[in-house]
Amino acid sequence: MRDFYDVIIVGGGSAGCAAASQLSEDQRRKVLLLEAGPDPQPIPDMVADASKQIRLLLESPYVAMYPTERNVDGSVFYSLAGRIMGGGSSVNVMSALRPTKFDLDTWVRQGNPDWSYENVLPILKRIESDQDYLDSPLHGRHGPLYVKRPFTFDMPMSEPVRAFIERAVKMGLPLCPDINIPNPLGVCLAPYNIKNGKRQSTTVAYLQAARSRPNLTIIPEAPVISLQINGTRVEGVRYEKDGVVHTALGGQIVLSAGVYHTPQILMLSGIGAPAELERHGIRVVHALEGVGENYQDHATIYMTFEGKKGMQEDWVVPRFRLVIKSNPAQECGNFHIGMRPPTEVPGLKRMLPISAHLLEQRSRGRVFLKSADPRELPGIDPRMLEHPEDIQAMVSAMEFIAGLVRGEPAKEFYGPLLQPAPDEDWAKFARSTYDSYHHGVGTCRMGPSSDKMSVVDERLRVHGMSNLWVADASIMPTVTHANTNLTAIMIGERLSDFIKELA
Amino acid sequence: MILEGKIDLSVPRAKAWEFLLDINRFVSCIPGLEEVSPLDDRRFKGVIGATVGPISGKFTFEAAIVESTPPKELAVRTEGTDSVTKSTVNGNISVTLTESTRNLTELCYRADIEVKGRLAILGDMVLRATASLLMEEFSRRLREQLEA
Repeated sequence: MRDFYDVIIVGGGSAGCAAASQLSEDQRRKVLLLEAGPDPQPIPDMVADASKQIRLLLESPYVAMYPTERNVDGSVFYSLAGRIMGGGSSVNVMSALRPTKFDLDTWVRQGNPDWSYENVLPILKRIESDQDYLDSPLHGRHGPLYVKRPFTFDMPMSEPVRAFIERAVKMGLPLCPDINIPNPLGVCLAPYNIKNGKRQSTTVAYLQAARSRPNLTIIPEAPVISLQINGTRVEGVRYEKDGVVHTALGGQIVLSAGVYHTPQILMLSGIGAPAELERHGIRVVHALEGVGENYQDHATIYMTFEGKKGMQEDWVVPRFRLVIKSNPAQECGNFHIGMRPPTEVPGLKRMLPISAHLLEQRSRGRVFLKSADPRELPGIDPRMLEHPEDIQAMVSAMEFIAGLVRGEPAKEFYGPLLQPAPDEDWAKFARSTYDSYHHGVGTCRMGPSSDKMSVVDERLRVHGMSNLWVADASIMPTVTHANTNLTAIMIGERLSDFIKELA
Repeated sequence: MILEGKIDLSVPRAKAWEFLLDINRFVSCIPGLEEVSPLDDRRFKGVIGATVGPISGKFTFEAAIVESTPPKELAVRTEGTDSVTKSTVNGNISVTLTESTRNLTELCYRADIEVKGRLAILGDMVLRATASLLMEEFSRRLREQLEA
């Protein structure tokens, strides 16, 4: 007799760990959490110690890299995902940014009235234990996720950082001490999910307290191969563990495998666009055109200036960012502008980059199967910076950066522009060199059943299936104007509410 | 990542060619070399150090002339590893010398650089600008030495 669970959650990432923890609070509910990556205990120092974040990205085995071709010339950058319990929250830079009100208003406009700012705010508050705004009606005090702003405007700061901020203020940007207000703009301070120097991933914030529950089974290093489907019902989940294929049977099946693997599992199980499935010899079980479509990410470009003075910064990602509008008519800030540390190579000019991150994508990419082999990573067609308004916005942001470093006091540190060349075609440069801000979303879009490209309804149930749910970044109809981890956690929390309401 | 460019040299093509094939003189044009040692008359290995914010690393590489058509075409292959991420960086560089007028040579290069491994994450923040500045500084030194 195979094991039966009330709920099976596929993927122990940001959303999956939150959902597993919340759903297993009721001891009568038997929950299985399957994670493709490992679940090392104790958590390795490189993961746990927040100060080792860049080494974690560069050296650890917990980051999956997905080669992604830029459409303009086929050159390659790498999309990333966490492959460890906690998923992205175990490898990311730990920014705890909320979706903006504008994002949630957009989701409502696209047919998801239950995701209004007013409805979502209580969930965002319940997630966090905000150390800086104890009495604010916008913030929560008792949630599992510890968040704190490690940098404030009255703290000592290095001269280059002070000059960067002063120049931004001189250009008219307001100081914004809390980026988690409804629509932030200006020189913004972000909270981080770091407590006493330790990363607060969803493994730490959610799963640790739930591990000892007898009704929660956690199986790591167990990639899911496909779903066992009978009509409109998913009976179970096939996963591989130690080279052997197992089947777990369940009442409610939740896919939280992330923006790349959730659509892959659906397609491998025969749920997707018929033409795409047939191309790989997969029998169509349930035609759903939108699976894998609607992919969006944040495009990032770097402008590199000559550094005039030596700088001793201890960060690679600074604890503040500029949120700007590339056009005053924009309804909310659509760029993050980031100061970056210098690159020094003896014998070369000192290189001082500034990054521009476009927080929206008008054209749509897709995630697709490369083959019917579940072990093969899915392919990504990014389509970033293809829409004329997106590339125009990026060039405007680049012009903003060029203006930023030309003025006092920033120009004491920033010299001439090295890359792109001042007379180069900046649009072409952006299209051929952009990288990812690593906030891919949207491949199982939430929307009403009348929208043929939507995959889940606003209660996160897959259209046309009776007990199949998706809860991760893939359900976002549009990419948020913010880092996406906190939104993914919020989606996991909401999923747990929706499933609890079934009982 | 592809880098292309040209360097105008006020010397005859034969002189430029002779310089490029002299490994000791050639490596003196490469900036940032902490160590260099010729392996034979067509190969050398070297180490370049780099610092990005709080992270310092070393890039160890070997370069070899794999094809030459005197005095106009040269193909160089480089293979290297960085000390932090153990990623590999391989490059195929083709160089063409054209004598535009007497005593004026145009050196065109095309470098196709492939980064395999985690270092690629830092690609466009660090590697592109570094590679491009390396070529710029190399060009400057080459001109300086050849035209001296």
